[in-house]
Amino acid sequence: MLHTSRTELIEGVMAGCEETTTGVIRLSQMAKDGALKFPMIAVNDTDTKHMFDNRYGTGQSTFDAIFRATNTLIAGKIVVVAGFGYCGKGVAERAKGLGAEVIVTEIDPTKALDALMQGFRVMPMTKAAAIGDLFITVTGNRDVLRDEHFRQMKDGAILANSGHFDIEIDVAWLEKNAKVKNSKMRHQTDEYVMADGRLANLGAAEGHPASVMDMSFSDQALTAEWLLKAGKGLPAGLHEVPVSIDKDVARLKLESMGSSLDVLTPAQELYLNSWEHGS
Amino acid sequence: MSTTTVIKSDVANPALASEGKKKIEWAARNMPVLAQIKEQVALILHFAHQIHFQLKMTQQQHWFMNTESQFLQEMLLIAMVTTSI
Repeated sequence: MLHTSRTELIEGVMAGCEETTTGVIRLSQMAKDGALKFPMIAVNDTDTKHMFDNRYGTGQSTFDAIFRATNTLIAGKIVVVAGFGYCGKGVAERAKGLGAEVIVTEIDPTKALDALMQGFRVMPMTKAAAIGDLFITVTGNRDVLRDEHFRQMKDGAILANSGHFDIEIDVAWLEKNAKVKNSKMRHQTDEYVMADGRLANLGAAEGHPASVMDMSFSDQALTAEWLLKAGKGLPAGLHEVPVSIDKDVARLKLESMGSSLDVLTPAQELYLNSWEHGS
Repeated sequence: MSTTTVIKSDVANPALASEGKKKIEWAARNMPVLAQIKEQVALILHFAHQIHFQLKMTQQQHWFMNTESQFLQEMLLIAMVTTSI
């Protein structure tokens, strides 16, 4: 809104923090086009955010939502996960842990290879559509499940989105073309789209567990503090969170969970910092 | 004789406040890092009101904000400063 309908407020903005993957992608495009008018910090890109919030938060809360909304048994099902970013990894890992056979669809060859070597089947959605029992979209893009896929799906296939607004699944097409719509078969479930295609983990469950948001919120708070102390003079554009903040949050979380780090001996430290020793 | 003042707000059902407070307290127990950095970021509170941040909050975060928990309100005021584009 600051860049569209409320541009008069931009002058008073010092900076901001962005916590979502989709938001950072948008900001990156804005920065590239010179459209971003103040500094933005990509809090999403900290390890303590996306490696945990996206992976373990989305992974767990998505299945929490599926259980609550459908009461379906995951074991023995074929679960198709669209997207193998950190959210997709979390969803696929949990599906596997629950006894499902998991298919991953990806557009990035490295991520697809990663999925394959983690033991998941990898194929285009045009093939997976006919096979899956449960489809979960976590891509950040639109029309991931659409006309050509719906036509191939098994009767009773369950569709859930944990990625991006309500456009990853083309619900509008389904609304228009469904011969019979059995609305509200169960809480937040029409037959068989969860939460109207909106984020299922928020619509049909409680979102991420507080324990994982502990890190994301701490990243935000410490980044805001850093902005106040050192952010003056930052140029408009997209900026990274200082690594020290990321490491502090990880260390504090680790300690709060009763674990501690190993420490390098002086000899090890010297070895790692020297090019004259070893091969 | 005491009187009750009803504050105009967007909270759909204020009667759920006590139930919500328990949920907040439960969540706070699972957020030890935020609790630890509370003092460190207290400085921000002083400035937060002076800075124009655009708040974009998820449903979950709205839920936290609509509570009587001073601690979480303060922390989230800071923590939720994300821009909407």
